[in-house]
Amino acid sequence: MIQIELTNAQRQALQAENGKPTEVVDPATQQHYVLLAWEQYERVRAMLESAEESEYQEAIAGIPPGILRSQQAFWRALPELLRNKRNHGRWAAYHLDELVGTARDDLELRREIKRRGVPRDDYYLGRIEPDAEPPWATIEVERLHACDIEEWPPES
Amino acid sequence: MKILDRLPYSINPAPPVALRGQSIRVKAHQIIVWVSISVADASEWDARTPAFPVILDTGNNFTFSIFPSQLIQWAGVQPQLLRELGRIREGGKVYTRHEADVWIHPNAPGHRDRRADREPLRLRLARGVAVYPDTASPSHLPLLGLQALTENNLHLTIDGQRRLVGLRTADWRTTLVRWLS
Repeated sequence: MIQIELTNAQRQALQAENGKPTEVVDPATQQHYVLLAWEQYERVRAMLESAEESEYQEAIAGIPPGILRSQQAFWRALPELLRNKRNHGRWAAYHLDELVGTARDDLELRREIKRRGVPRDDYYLGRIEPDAEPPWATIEVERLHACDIEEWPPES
Repeated sequence: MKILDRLPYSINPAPPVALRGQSIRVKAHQIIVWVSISVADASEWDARTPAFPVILDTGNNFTFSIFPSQLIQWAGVQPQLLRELGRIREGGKVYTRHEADVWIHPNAPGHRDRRADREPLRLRLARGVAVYPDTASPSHLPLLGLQALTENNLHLTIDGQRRLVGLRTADWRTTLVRWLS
C-alpha cells in the first residue's frame, strides 16, 4: 500500500475530528475519500473485501470464462492502449490473453476473428477510451417513467 | 447522414403502432423509432431482418433494453444466441447484458412509421444490450437509451414547437451548429 504523509493542516483537521472518519476531496477530480485511523480501517477491511468479492462474483456469474478472460486482458491493456492518442475511439479485439488487433471499425476485427476460427465464447471487443468501470462490471441503470406519473389531485 | 428526418411525436396519445397484427399503444410525448437487432458478427446489413418500434428514451442511461419475448417475436432473435457480456442493475433487479448489433432505420421525412428506402445505421454498443429475464412480461416497448446515441457520436435535435425529432451522424452541420451556439 502506498503511504502518503499528512500535511500540518490535515493533521490538525484530523485531531479536531477526535478520531472520527474525515472526508477528503481531490479538487482536481472532485473524488471524495475518507481518512480512517488504521485500527478502524482494519475493522472494516475484511467486511469491504468480502463485499467486493461477492459483488465481483455476482457480476461475472453468467459470463463465459473465455469472454471474461478476454475482457480482463483488454482491461489490463487499456491504460497502455490509451497512451497512444491515435488509438482513442478505435476497437481492440482480444482472444483470451492475446491482442488480435485494433481497428477503427469493429467489423474488421470480427472478420479477423472469424478468419482465425476463434471459438464464439473466447473473445471480446472493447472500445479504446477512458472508462471507469471494467467491461464485466454491473452497470447501474436508471429508467425514468415520466409518462407514468399520475395527475394529482385526481380529476373528479 | 440523416437518420431521423422530421420524425413526428405527439403531445396527445399518438396513433398506435401496427406490428405483425398487434396494435401497440403509444403514449403522449413518446418518441417512436424503428430498429432491428441481429447477432453481432462480421456480416453487413441483411434486408430480411425484421424491424420493430422502440421508445427513444433520453432519460435512460443505458444503451438498449428489451424483453425476451420482444426479442424473439419482433426481432426474430433467440436470446441464447447473443453472447453474455455482463449485467445491469435497474430498480434493484439484475439483468444480463448481451452483445448484439442494433440497427436504427431512417424514416421517410415527416413520417413516424414509414421507413426511408435506405440501409439502417448500425449502432456500435461496446457494453451490449440489456435483456430482461424470461419471467418479466413486457410492460413497455424496448428502450433506446442515451448511451447508444452518445457511444455513436450521434446528433439529436428535438423541436418542441413543431414536435419533430432529428437524428444524424456528425458532419459539417454539427460543426456549424456548435459554432453558431
